[in-house]
Parts: sequence; C-alpha cells; structure tokens
Amino acid sequence: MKGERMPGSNNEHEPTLARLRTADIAMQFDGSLDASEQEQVARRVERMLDVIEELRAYPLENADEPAPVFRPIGKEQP
Amino acid sequence: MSRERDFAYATVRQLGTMLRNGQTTPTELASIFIDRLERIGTQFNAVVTITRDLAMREARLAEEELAAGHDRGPLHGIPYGAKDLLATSGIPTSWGAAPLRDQVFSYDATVIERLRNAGAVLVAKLAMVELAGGMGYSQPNASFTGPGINPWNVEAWSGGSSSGSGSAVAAGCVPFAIGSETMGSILSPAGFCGITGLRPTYGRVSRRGAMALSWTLDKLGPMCLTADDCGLVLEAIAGPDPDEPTTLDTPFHYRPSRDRSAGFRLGVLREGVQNAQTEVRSNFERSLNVLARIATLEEVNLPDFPYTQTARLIISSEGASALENLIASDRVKELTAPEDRTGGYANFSIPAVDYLRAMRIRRHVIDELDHLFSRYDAIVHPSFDMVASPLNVSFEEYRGERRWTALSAAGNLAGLPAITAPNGFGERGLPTGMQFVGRAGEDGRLLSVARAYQHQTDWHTRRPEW
Repeated sequence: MKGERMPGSNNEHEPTLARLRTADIAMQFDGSLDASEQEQVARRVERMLDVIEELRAYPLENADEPAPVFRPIGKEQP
Repeated sequence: MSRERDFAYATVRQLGTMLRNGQTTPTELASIFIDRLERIGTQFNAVVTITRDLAMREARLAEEELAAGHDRGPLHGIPYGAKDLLATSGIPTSWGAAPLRDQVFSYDATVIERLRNAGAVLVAKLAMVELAGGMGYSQPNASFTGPGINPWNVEAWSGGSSSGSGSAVAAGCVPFAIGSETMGSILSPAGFCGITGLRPTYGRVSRRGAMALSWTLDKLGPMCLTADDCGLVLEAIAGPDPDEPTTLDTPFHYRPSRDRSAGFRLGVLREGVQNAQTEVRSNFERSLNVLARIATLEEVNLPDFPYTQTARLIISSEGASALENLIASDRVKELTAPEDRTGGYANFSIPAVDYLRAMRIRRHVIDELDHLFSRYDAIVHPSFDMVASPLNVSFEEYRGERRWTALSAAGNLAGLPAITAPNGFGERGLPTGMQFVGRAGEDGRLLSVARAYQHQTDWHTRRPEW
C-alpha cells in the first residue's frame, strides 16, 4: 500500500501514500524541509507504513481496550 | 597507580567497607574518580560535564557526616555519574543533543534528589546518544560528544543510548551510573561494555526530571559492576513519587541476606540463539551449565506477537509528541547524526487510530507475558546475539541478514524488569552477556537470580586495562 498509487489510479505520476503523508508533514512544519529532506522523510514514512500494515493484520475485537487504561484519578483512594 | 586502581574497580559494597574502616575518604574517592573521568573517561567520549565543585561539596559533607556517626547507608560517600538526560539544578543537561548543550534546569530530577539523600556524590553528567535515540539513529556517531567508545576495544561502540554510563562504569571512572531505557538503552551499553545493568519494572523508579521519549516505556535504572550493587542503588532510587503518577505504590527493599541462592526455576529462551555469533552461543551454553547448579531449567518460547512493530509504533508516536517542540523549532537540524536531522518528522505521519491499535495489542502482550513469566523466577537469554559493532559501520551493515529475538521489545512493552550480566568474551575481545528477565514487580527476585549466577562465576570481576 505504502509505495503504491492511490486506488483506481493508473497514472504513474500519481503520488504514493508515503509521499502524500510527507507532503502533509512538510505543510505542517511550514518550510522546514527542502526537497532532499522530504525525500528522506518519505523513505521513513514508507517504513512506518510497513509497520502499520503489519499491526493492522493483528485481529482485535471491540472489547480489546488499550493499555494503559484511563483512570479518572491518579491513584486509588483508600 | 595500584592504589587508584584498587578503588577504581571496587564495587559499591567494597567501597562502602573501605570508607567505614578508614582505608579511604569520600573526598579522596571523589578526587580519584574525577581524575579518571578527565584522564580516561574523555577518551571514551563518556563525559559531558564533570561536576567538580558540587562533587567536592557533597564529598566533604559525607565525610563530616560519617565522621560524626551519621551513616546514610551503603551509598554514603560513593561517587556516581548520571546520564545527561536527568535534570540537575544549575548544571547543563544536554540530552546528548548539540542544540540543547546549554539547557539548564532549575531543579533536580527525583533520582538525583534521592541519591543525594542517600549520601551519594554526583561527579559527572555522562554522555548519551542524542535525544536517547528518539530520532532513529542508525550508526554510533550520534552524539555531540562523539560516538561512545568501548573500554574493551577502542575501535568498538559502547552501545547506547546510555553510552557514557556503560563505558564510564566499565573503565572504572565511576563506581555506578544511572541510565535510562525505553527499548534497550540500559541493557545494550551494559551488555556491550561487560558490566551489570538493571532495567527495573516500569514505574519502579520515578522519571520526574528525566527527558521524556516515550511516557509508557521510559525507565531509569542502575548500571554497576555487580547485581548486588544494582540492588543497593535500586533501593535508594526506587519508590513512589507523588509528583510522578506512573510510579508504583510499593517501596522496594533490597534484602539480599534473606534471599535464596539456589532452587530457582528458570525458563530458557533459545529462539534465535542459533543465529548468534559463535562465542555468544558457546558462552550462553556454558552459562546454562552454571545455572543448572542453582536452578531447574525449562525451555520456553515467547507467545507470538508483533512485538518489535508494536514497540516501534508506540515509541515513534509518543516520541513525536514528546519532542514536538524541538522538531517544530527546526533545531533538530543541528543534531550530530545526519539521519537524526530528519528522522523525527516521519513520526508525525502515524494516525491516532494506529497508535491505539498498538496499545490494544500491547494489552494482550502484557497479559500473555504475565502468564508466562509467573511460572519462572526469570527467563534467560543471551543479552545480544553479537558483540558491540565497530565504530565506523552502520547497524544495518553490521547486522546483515542476522535475525534476533524480540525479547527486548516484549519485555519493554510489558514493563518487565531485566538485568544483564557479563558471561564471557567474543569477537575482537569484546564482552558477551546473559540477560535475565523477570515478572513485573519482581525486581528483587530477579536480582537474587543474577547475584546467585555471579556467585558462581567471575566474569563480573574482569576489568579492561585502564
């Protein structure tokens, strides 16, 4: 998914998901990243997308809560 | 020189005895270790700041108190070094990062306060990988103090990110040091430098005043010559902290005299060992033979989870948030490792839903590992499959196609305590290590196992030539 073109696209110039996300980051950090730096960030985003893809393959149910669990107070009261 | 060396490589417990029977004084010890830090520690790029004035003040106070019969316990008058991510009032705390080398906090981290209350003497802030490795460094030269150098072989890396803590203890420049671990940053430098390093249970030690990389994974712990010393230091720094909500409610008491020295039940994780370097494999087998004298051994496997990916996603997400100000300020461009100058940006691509997915998987990891570890006093495994890498080689190039277990990611995800102890030497004369991983909260039991192992071996008494 990460290095592929957007669904339904046959245009080889269409940006990949990694590049779209990199463009979003570049906008977020307004002008901080030049073209060569964006290239480096895009490669890292691609690797992160691989990680995300592997985690998405792990089955979870609605009842599976994250760790740690939210607690409305810092410590249990006596 | 031999008098200096006698003190330089003495354990914390031995130094305590020497102080109390008049063989030395806190001020002499502070002077010796400061001199070694300047003369030897700097050769290993282990030192950021030597806190000479503070150290001599604390040492004089310790001397007066001990002379007056006011004994604060086993760390009283003992010099130590702190990884340079722990806030120290009025002394720079650089987080290993060039753009922050003049950063000064106006308060002490809880760990620093607790060590002062125990009478320990802070002699140095020790070098570390910039931002504790949070920008994804991929080779040893990733700190403004230079790459951490290994006292056993100056062409090898010390490990990281607590690099100065590892090499300074190994080279007899401090009797103990404080390191931090998010995923491997205590066990790696301790293992590669041939010392004993303890990663306590998550929440055992307050992180108030420590640089945050990943709130749900960061831990602080002792790096020493022996497991016994780790216990002494852990007792001083552990315990609840009202200013740090993740600390455990229960205090930690180190009581080695009440512990078992045999009759342990150990799980042996062999997964991946076949891919380890030859000496790592043979040293591991020899260690198992030693452990068989004091324990029953049973082969185990880790439950099947995407440990490394889960840990990586959590660290990346939390690290992006924790270090957002620095990244937004553009000062990351001043970092030492070229890959770190852009490494943090990519983490802003992680959707919240994927962070939560990782945290939901983590809940299963915690439950399954608790079930597994509840059956053993510890699970044992080589600390690493390879000895420390050469200084001038990227980690990827050094590792090649070699695959290793995910025990480090698993243990850190579940907040489990772990200790590494030296168990021999491998390629290029570099140390190999054995790690013991325990059930969450069972730091004391883990220390008992490691101490019993060190009673049977002498690898922890080997010293480099410095």
